[in-house]
Amino acid sequence: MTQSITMLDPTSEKTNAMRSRKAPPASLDGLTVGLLDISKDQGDHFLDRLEVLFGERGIKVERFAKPTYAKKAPDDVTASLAERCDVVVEALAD
Amino acid sequence: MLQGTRRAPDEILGMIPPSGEVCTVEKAAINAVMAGCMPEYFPVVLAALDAAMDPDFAWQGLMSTTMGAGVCVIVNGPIARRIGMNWQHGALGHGNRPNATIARALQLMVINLGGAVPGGMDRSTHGHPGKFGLCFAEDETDDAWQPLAQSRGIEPGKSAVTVFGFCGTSINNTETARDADGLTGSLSMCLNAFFHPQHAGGGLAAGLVLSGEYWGIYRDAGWDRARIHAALLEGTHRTQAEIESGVTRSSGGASSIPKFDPGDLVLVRAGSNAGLFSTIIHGWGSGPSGSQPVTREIVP
Amino acid sequence: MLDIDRKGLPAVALFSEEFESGVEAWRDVHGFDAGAIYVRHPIQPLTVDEVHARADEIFDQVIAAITAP
Repeated sequence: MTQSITMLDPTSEKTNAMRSRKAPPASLDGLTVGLLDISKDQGDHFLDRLEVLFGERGIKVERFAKPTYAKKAPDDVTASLAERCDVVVEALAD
Repeated sequence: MLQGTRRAPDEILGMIPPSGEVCTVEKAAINAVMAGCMPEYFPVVLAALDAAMDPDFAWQGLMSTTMGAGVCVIVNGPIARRIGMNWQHGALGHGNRPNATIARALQLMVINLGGAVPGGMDRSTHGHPGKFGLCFAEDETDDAWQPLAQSRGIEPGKSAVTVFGFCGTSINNTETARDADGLTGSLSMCLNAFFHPQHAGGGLAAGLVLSGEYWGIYRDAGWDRARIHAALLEGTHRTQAEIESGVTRSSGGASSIPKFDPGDLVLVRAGSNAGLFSTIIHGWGSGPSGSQPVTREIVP
Repeated sequence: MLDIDRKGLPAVALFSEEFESGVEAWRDVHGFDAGAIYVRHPIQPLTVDEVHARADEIFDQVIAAITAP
């Protein structure tokens, strides 16, 4: 006599292929860098300095902020990034 | 386990943090079995899951924070008695199956589906025992006490869960307070010490679990939930000078600073009738930028 | 990070170096090779000038991460 047992898996039962991020541009000439503050303490000071450093190299930046690091960025923030920038630098998770 | 619900096994319930993996009724059931739940607990598990997935709860943040948060599930209404939950001796501890397994089921989903592995996406500095799951029922045996679910808009006679993001518990003991004002002063001192005595200005949540004897002092003085809540909010106000000795970042010049925003102090009744104790459930960052308690009716 | 990438924007995120294992776990789960740069830990106790110095330390890496090699 044989008995069949069905085993159920508590996990997602998936493995993912790794995909690359969007390829960066060859040069930042004429492009706008979006600086996204995730709203952790000190991140604003960190981005203030990055803004100065980009400025010294003649690279245009725009500042954005998530309301809280505890939740993902609202759609209006990501939409604004897409409308106004070409690349994004997000900081600072610690 | 699936006999505990009328919902289809392949119904998608939402995303489990921190990875955001999709959870179906069947996946929730598998994890509930592993947690040790009985089928009759499953509607409570599903309601708690639905509450935890509310964006206001910020489950993602709770499950990845360095502060090491877990989910506390508080059950109200007739279902607590029906499935044999404990709100008396040791309600926050071991020894009762639904208490021990309902929040555990959520935590197993977070591990098995959400990938919350310490040192991986779970960034807890220390973590705490409550990350295994904390669930208890509220003591609703005294009509003078308004149950938590009713204070949060659920109709009397209905069952509900409230989820509360938390970072551990601590017990407080005063055996000298004899009246409502004295007890409020005593409890306020304990609440002011939590997280850090110098923290003020809101932004953090706390649960306060009142034992039978403490509730008795308030009840005999004619105080109800609303009055105790208001008195504790008032009692935890402090002056700038009291909180700023030695701090490097001043919070401003206000003369009376609240410890809590009103919605961030959650009062619950549980525990036996012997013991002058309260338990503070340490919340996490609160308000719109943190985790807010969420209540859901339990639908059979 | 996924949402920003889906909008077609190349992006890099900055973390304290203590979060590297978390970022790796996140990458595996999401199957997404997110751009990441690690800043020396700690950040929270630093003065503003010290935070600025941390930014100076990694600025060349930021430029390299948002331009094609």
